Amino acid sequence: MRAEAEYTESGWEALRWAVGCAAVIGREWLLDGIAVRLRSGERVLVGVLAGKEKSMRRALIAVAIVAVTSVAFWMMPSGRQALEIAASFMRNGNIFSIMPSQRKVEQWRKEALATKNARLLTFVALMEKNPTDALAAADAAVKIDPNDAWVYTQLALRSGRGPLMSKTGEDKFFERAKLYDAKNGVVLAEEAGRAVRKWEPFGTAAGNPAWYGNRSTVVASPMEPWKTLMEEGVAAQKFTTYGDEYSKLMTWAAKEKYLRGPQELLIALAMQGMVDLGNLRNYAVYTVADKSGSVEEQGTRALQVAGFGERLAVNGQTDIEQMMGQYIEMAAYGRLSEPAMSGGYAPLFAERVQSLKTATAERGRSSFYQLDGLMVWNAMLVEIAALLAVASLVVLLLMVLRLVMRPEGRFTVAALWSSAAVFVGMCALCVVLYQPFAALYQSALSSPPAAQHYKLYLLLMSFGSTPLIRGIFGVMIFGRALGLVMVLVVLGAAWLVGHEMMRRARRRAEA
Amino acid sequence: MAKTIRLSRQTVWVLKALLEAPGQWRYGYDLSRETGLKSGTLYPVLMRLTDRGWLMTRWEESEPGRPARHMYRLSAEGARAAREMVTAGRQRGFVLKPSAHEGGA
Repeated sequence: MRAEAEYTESGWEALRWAVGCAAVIGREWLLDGIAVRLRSGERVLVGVLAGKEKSMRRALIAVAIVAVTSVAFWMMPSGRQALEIAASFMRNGNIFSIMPSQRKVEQWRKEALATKNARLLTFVALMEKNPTDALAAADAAVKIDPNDAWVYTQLALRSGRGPLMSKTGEDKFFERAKLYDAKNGVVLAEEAGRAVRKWEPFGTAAGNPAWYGNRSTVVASPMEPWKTLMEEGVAAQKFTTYGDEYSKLMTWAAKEKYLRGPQELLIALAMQGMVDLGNLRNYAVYTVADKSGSVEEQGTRALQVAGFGERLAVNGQTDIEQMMGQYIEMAAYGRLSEPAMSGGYAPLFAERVQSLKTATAERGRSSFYQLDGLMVWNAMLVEIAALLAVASLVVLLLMVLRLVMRPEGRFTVAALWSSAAVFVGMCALCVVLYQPFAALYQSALSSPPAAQHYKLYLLLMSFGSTPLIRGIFGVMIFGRALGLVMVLVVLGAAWLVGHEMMRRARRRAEA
Repeated sequence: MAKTIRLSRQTVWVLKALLEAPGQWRYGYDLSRETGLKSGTLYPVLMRLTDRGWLMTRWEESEPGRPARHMYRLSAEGARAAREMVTAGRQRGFVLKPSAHEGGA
């Protein structure tokens, strides 16, 4: 075959000849084997089914191997996670479409009520999309363990804002929060925010604290009870959104497998209720910009705001809350540094102001999530292995279909064995390559909240940033490409069946 | 008697081309041009015919610097079987490609 290529009429013809010959060699290697002469002079037959009987029994063995591998792969957490993460990015292009189903939430509710598990009921309350069911679960949890009353504050902060909760029922959450958590500054600030009808400009840009620049200051309308409630909230000893309790609960749910894998855990963490930071900022800036009263009174107000900002910067339970605390501090210190403010406040806080400026500058320079190039390429190999595993499974199923129609098909059995081998190999590769990410996930489960967020984002964005997802297929196109593949598979199966029916009809006609 | 090969258009075309000059050794590329079959289709047919004993094969003495070429010719049994198969192919309505001896492509 090779020699003939030298006698073809053109280079293009030689290339086509060589490609055809390669196909013949490949087919023979699959079916009968190729005779290879070893150094010792011995000739051996090398091939997938070389020298073996090509029987239906062998085909069934190959299918059984694939079935066992599939089950083992799926039961292995790292295998399942690898496939789910790769598939979710390829299907949807983002990670936020993974949510526990309502059916699962209902199962958890029944389990929690049957076992009187307050922790699980609290988790159910936070996963429920229906406000009435969420409130019922929260009430049941608090009845069993009153220490879980923090869930009312979380539900009140989330209601009407995220994609999960409708506005119906939000008043009941807030009523419970005021009943159980009245002294929490967050609840007072939330009540203040709900009293605002609109925001109106206050003063002029020239009157703003130095840090705030030329942005217009706004104040709530009506002023009362917003101003009074915000003063109480900012001055409260307790100012917490229960972020730590929330994170610990979600981490527990992940360890207990109620939340499956890093995607569901990250989404659950992202659903955490937060205080209205805009409301806090507006109050802080209004307070320090307010020039009513004596200079001492203005300075006292600014000091109170600075103190609140520092508490929020240090004790804030999310990085966004901490950043807002720093911004509020900067506004207050900016005001206190003005020449009009007598009393020499500036030197007292010079060191603190400098550290805040440094922190702000560093935040501006650094990328929040530094992706590791090696992890991104590792993630891409996982995605490729997952793709090849699925493709080989599809080929195997089509060959099974063809084998049912034509049991004597030699090429079919060989192709079936080849695709089985590829499937097993790709599953093994997927599990091995995913190990660093599995270790990162386990580490995230035992990390404090800030580090936990970082590790989960690092894990998931490594998969979302691969050249495969971002480049070759593109985020939006790949979802359609998968749909096209499914259509082609169905058409391929239909063609196989139709071709076989026509072949049998032709045989009958010839007979 | 050798086992009968499945009657296919491609097999009939190859046998017809070989029957044009049954005693003549033919190269694979020449058969490809005569029948219009590509290498990926032609060689499996040639290999099946050889396995059945209908074709004889030999290696040509090669020119220096060039690989040796494989040649094919119908055996006595093969020639007889080829005539039967070509006749059967005509009866089935297979369109028979004109050969070079008939002045075709």
